[in-house]
Amino acid sequence: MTVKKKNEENDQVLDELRYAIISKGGSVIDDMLTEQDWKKITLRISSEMLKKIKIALTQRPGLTRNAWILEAIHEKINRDGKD
Amino acid sequence: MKIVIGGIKGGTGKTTLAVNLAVVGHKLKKKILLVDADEQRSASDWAEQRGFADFPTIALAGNNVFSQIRNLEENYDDIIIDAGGRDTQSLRSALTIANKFIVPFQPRSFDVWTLDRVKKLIEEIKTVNPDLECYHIINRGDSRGQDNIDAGEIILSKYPILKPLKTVIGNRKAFANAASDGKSVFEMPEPDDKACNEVWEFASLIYHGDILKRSF
Repeated sequence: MTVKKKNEENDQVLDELRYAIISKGGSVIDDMLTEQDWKKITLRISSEMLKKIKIALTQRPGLTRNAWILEAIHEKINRDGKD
Repeated sequence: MKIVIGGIKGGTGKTTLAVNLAVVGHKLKKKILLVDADEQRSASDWAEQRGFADFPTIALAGNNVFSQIRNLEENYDDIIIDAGGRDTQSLRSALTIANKFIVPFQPRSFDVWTLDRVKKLIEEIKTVNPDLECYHIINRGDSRGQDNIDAGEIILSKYPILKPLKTVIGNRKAFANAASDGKSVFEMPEPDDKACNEVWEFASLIYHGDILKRSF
């Protein structure tokens, strides 16, 4: 049992070292917004519209659907002069 | 086995490699978990696009990458972690418990220079995870010319901590087309055979340590 206790203590020390190393990294979105600043919403969208987005994405390799939709929202807000 | 695909340079095709590696693992009858630890959440978008088919994909960040994977690992043969292209807490968290760290890079000098920082990161991680195996792979490589060879030689001489994976993933449209459909290159209606061979070789080296004969 003593050996087990020693191992548990070692594991705890190792975990503390791990957390110390992890904390030196940049936060998840530290250059942009914190996790709390993001909100998830349910977007109701027609299949036809989704197909159009899919086609548009083929012209923009590497861009995700989420990023494409966000970009479209930004464009609309800018165009309407609300930003 | 816990495999991290990451680095500290964006746009090197980490997510593309991660999702294709996950699909090959699934096709090899392995129980795969894909972890999206990149703030851009591209792997999650990819998984959503395919209706989360074949294997689970979860998004984790920060200390949760380390703690949650430790809780989940006994349920899977392999866990593939897409850790993004910055020195984040998520990348470090994944590396503290990983078996293999794969750093893709493009054969351009700018990418090669970032390897100084990768080397320092690995040295720091090895203080808590000394068995971590680290590899580099040329991704989006040129179809011709000397750049692939030159870049490989620089890494081999300056960064021996990053062992070479002896295959090159080409700069092919097939990868982008498959990704935007939530597919691997193997799952396209008319698969690009060169892209499939490249992914097979990469996956074979990761899963088996050698290039085996393609089985699908």
